[in-house]
Amino acid sequence: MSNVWWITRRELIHYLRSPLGYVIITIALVIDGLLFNAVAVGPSQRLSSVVLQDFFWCASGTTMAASIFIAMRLIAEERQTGTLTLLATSPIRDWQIVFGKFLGALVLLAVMNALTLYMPLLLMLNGKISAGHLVAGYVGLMLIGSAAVSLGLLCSSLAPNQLIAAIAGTGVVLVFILLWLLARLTTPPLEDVLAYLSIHDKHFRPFQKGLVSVADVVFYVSLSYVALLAATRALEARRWRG
Amino acid sequence: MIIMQKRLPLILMPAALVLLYIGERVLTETARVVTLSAGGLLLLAAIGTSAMRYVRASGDARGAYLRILLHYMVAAAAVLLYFAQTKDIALVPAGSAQTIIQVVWPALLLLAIAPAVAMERAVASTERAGMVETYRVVAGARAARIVVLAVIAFAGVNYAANVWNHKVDLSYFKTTRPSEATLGLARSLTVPVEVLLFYPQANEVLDHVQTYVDAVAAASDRVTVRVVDQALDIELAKELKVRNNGFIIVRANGRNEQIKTEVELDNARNALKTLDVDFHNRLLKAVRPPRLAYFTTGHGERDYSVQSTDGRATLADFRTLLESQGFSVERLSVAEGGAGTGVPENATLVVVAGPTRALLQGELDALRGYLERGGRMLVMVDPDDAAVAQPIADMLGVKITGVPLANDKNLVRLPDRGESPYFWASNNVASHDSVPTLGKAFGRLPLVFINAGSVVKKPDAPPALSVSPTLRSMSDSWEDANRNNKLDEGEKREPHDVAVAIEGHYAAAKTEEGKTPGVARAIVTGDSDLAATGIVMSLEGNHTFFVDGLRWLAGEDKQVVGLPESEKDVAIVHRKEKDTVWFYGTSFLVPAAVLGLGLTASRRSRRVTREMKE
Repeated sequence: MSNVWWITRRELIHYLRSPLGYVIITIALVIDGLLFNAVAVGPSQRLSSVVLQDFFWCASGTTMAASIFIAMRLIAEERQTGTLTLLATSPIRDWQIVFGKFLGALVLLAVMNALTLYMPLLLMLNGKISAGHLVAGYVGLMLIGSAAVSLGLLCSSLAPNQLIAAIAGTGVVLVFILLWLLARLTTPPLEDVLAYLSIHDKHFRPFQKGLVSVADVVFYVSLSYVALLAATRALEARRWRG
Repeated sequence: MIIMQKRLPLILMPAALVLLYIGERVLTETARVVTLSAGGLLLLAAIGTSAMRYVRASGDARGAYLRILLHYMVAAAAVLLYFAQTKDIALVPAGSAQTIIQVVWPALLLLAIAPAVAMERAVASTERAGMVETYRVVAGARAARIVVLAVIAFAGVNYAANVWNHKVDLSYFKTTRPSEATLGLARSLTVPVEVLLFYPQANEVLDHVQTYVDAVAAASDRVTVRVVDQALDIELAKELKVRNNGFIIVRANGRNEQIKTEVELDNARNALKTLDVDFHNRLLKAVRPPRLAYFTTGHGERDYSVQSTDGRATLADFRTLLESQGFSVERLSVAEGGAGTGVPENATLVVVAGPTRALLQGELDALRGYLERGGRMLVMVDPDDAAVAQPIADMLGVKITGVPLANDKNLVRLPDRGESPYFWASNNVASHDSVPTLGKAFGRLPLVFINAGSVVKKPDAPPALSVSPTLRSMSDSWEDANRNNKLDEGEKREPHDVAVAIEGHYAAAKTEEGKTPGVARAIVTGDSDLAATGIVMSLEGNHTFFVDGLRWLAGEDKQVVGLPESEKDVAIVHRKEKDTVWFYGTSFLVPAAVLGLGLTASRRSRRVTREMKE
């Protein structure tokens, strides 16, 4: 486990000692702030719980976008700069590399989301919102962020460079978001399967409303697990793919 | 060319699967048969070419090709399994066997195809060197198999999680506790009140309701509580017209007031959030004598019907508010011989809401007579109609200036009407018995005014009348005499009175029956939009002003203090200053602070590292 921690720490240092992490967080906060005012609060009078729901809806978009940008460099940059060989020859197992990098990205995402807390707190002061609703929303943001980071990490482990990793990550996450649309075009049982795999429409909306369901948590955790496992196998593939 | 031939199974197999999918799921009739046949042929071709490749190979390559061939054959078996359970072929009877096959065939297909593709790639990567390394092939297949098994586990775990799902609702939910207003009302009861709770035993909603009602009963000996199961006491339920469980009945003075909550907690959440408001209002209705509010009509007043006739917002919401306070409402029409022939004896209150035409002298005399009897009036006048309403104002010892008040610092944005300096908010409340709750709110409950004018005490007001300002505009508002929305020279920012409370005796002498006439009370506001639909029930400040005001007018300000509590969600009110702070604070200030601190920290960290290296 110390190897995982070492990798996580290395990733966090990379983000926090360079302007990159702060720039990503700042851009996400500006977008969150603008969307909070324009979409969530809006021009008309709205109930505080509705404003909060729309805030989480907007924040889920910025969280997923930030996740892709954070995840794109995780493995692809190592491959691009040639440090992957150094990492691979060190006494660290592939799963430890992947999991450590995933945790590093997730901590950065948690910091980013935590810094948006002042917006719902403003609503809490002016409306009737429970702390539980806030917790549910942020749990949802972290879960959807974790799924997006895992999918981005998988793309990063397959892509030769960061740009392709970002494009592929965006494409994959978009497909997972838009699966509900595709589901409408198909017939059962495929329709149910595609609708279920949609990472936002089916599983995030309950968190927006303050509902935490075991099935949604299991979905995000298991999706992240499968993506991380696939990323580990993709990293391992250099041994047999040549 | 040889390599191309060797790759042929890898091209044929996916092509076969795509054709089979299209034939089975997309096409119909002849096209379907043709496509399915083509898919089947391609599947056979993939297996055939794979088998030929195996026969021709030697050494380690032979073993690798055999593994791939076996995987393709398993994939073909999975396809056959699928068709065996379809309605067309129906080799497997519907039931558990069919269900098992429906689960097994996709798993088998994935477990065959993914490792086969990985093995093809492993073989291809070393084939150019003229040799095939078995360990690469095995490792590739294993990696693919592990991922597929993870996907299968993903499906299984998610299926189980959905079957045994559990949801927790963490959104805002709190059953209201009895407010000081409700407890005060309970303490002041003079008649016995029975509260019947129609719920089944051991019910979640009953727990919430009983906790609330028991707290009310603890405040008064006159309140008793009884739990009744509607299914077990059908006679009582029928007598009280209760058809299901999930009802609270408040019984007093032979009257039965009903509150519906439902019996499932999920469905009862909204009712429980407003339980104190509902219980308070029902209790008031049950114990109070009937009260009647008359609305004058025939002078272009705002009406409480839902349909507006003059384009202005109606008072439909204000009617709801009056009813919640135990009032019935009626119109007092000149045409029906109303105000002109005197205000009826049963009037508790007369409301004059935004008249646009002057009242006749006979009507004014009737209202004066009502006030001399100790009557109660609520007069709301817009500045544009100040002149027509001034005779009523004269009677009450006040002057309605007729000049709109503007404010560019506390202006509010209204749905559908946008922003204007004439739409503003104020939390400037004086200390008076008619505004006790607003006074105690310390500015937390602003009121919204739309085209309001000021109301001031006349110098020649009858000395027996006490005229007290209750609401004022904010100190940065001004009287916009030329109505150009701008603060011009000569116009001064200062607070102005926009509502006053009037109290006093109109008749000094005793009546013919020898009784001392009651104290007349009136509230005059310089804005009739204060009570308009869309404002009075949705803005807490405006709502509170009228609830307190009605109590004061009805002479109950000493008996019931404060407002019942509601845990219902509230709207976020837009005010220009607040919106500006929110916008710049949330969009730029906090992100800029994060960026500034972050860049400083990262620069310092890099400098320390550099110094340590040096």
